[in-house]
Amino acid sequence: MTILKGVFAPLSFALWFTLSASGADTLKIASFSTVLTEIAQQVGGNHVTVVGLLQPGQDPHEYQPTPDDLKQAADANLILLSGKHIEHYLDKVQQATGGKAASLAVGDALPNLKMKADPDEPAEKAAADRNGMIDDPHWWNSISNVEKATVIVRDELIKLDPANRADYESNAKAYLAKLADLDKWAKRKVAELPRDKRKLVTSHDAFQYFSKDYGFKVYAIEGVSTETEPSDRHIADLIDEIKKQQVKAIFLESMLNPKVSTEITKETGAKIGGTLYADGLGDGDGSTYDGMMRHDISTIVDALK
Amino acid sequence: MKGSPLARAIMTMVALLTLLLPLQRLTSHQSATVSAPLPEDSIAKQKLHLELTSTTVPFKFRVAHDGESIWSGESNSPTVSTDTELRFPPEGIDLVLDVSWSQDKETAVRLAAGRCWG
Repeated sequence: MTILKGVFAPLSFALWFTLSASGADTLKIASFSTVLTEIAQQVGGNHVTVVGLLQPGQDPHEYQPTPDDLKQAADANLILLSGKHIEHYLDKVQQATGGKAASLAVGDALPNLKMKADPDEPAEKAAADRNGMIDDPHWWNSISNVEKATVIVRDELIKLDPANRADYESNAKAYLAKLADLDKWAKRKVAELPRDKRKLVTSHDAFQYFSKDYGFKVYAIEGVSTETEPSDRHIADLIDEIKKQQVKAIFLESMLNPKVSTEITKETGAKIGGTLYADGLGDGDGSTYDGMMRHDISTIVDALK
Repeated sequence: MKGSPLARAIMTMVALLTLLLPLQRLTSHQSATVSAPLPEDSIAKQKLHLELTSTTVPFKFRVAHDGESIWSGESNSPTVSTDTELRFPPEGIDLVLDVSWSQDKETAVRLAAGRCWG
C-alpha cells in the first residue's frame, strides 16, 4: 500500500501538469499547412495548442477536410492557411467557422512567383489571371519565405495574446536563428555544385521559389498541382530538353507515383537522383523543416555533381 | 563582423552575387553564342586575380570553388592576393570564403575578383 501511494502521487502530479499545460488558457490554432504547424508550435510554445489538420505526408493539392477537421477549425482561435489558392476547399472552412475564428493566409503576404495554370483543372482555372497564370503556392521551399512566415505568425499571436508578447518574440527569435543557420548551410552546400549543373527536373512544379534562391533552372514533369496529368507532347519535349541539357539526374517526390519519372530516365539515360519533399513535411528526414530542407538540398546537390 | 576569441571559430561568408555579375559580363561573348551546354571539359578556364582584405590581422583564410579549396593560408598583412585559373561557365561561379581571427573585435573583410590582364 505504501508502494502504491508512492507511485500514485507522482502520477497524479504528472497528470495535473499535463492538463494544465494544455489547458483552456492557451490559444487554439488549427493549421492547414504542415510547415505552418511547425512555425506555430515553435513560436507559440506553451501558450498555444496547435492542431495540424493537414498531416505530414498528406498532399495539400488533394487534401479535403473531414467533418471533424472542420469542427476543429471552427473551435480554433486562429486558423492558419498556406494561401496562394492551394486551399481549394476554403469555402467549406469559411462555412464551418461562420467567420468566428481569425484566419490568416500566410502565403498571400509573401513574395509571389507566377506559373502557368492548367486549364483542365477547375480550381486552377478559377484562380488564374487573364494571361492564364496562377500564383505558385509552394512558398515553403524558400527558407527566406519561411523566415517571413515566422514573423507573420509571431505578429498574429501577439495581436491575439498581447500578454505573452515577450515569449512569442523570444521563441520567434530562437526559431529564426535556426533558419538563418539552415540558410547559411544551404548556400555552402549549393555552392558545391557548379552553376551550369543546376538543372532540376522534378515530378511536379514545386521548386520555383527554391530555384530562384539558389540559381537553379526547373524542368517539371507535371504542373502546379499533383493532380495534373502531363501530356505526351510535354513529356516528349522534356525528354529532348533533358538530353540537350545533359541533365545527370531527375528527382521523385515523396507524395507522387514515380512511373513517369522512371520512364523518362529510361529514355534519357539520366538517373533517379532521389526522392524530395516537395509539398511540405513528411516522414523521416522530412518530419521537421530543417530536416526536410537539408534532405532535399543534399539529395539534389549530391546527385547533380 | 566579430572574430573568435579562440581562433578556431570560423566566420563564414559566401561571396556570390557580387562576383557573379561583373564576372559574367567579362565572359558575355560566350553566353551569346551558346545554345546548348558545352561538355564539362570544353568549358574554357579563366585566369582570375583574387584579392582578400581584412581590417584585422593576423587572419587565416580559405577560398573554395565548387566544393574544392583553391586558395588558403595565413596573413599578417591586411591584403593578400593570388592569381588562379577557374572553369568559368556562362552561368557564373560561386566562391565560398572562410576567415578566422585570433582577436575578438569588429572586423570587415572583402574578397575581390577580377580578370588577369596580360
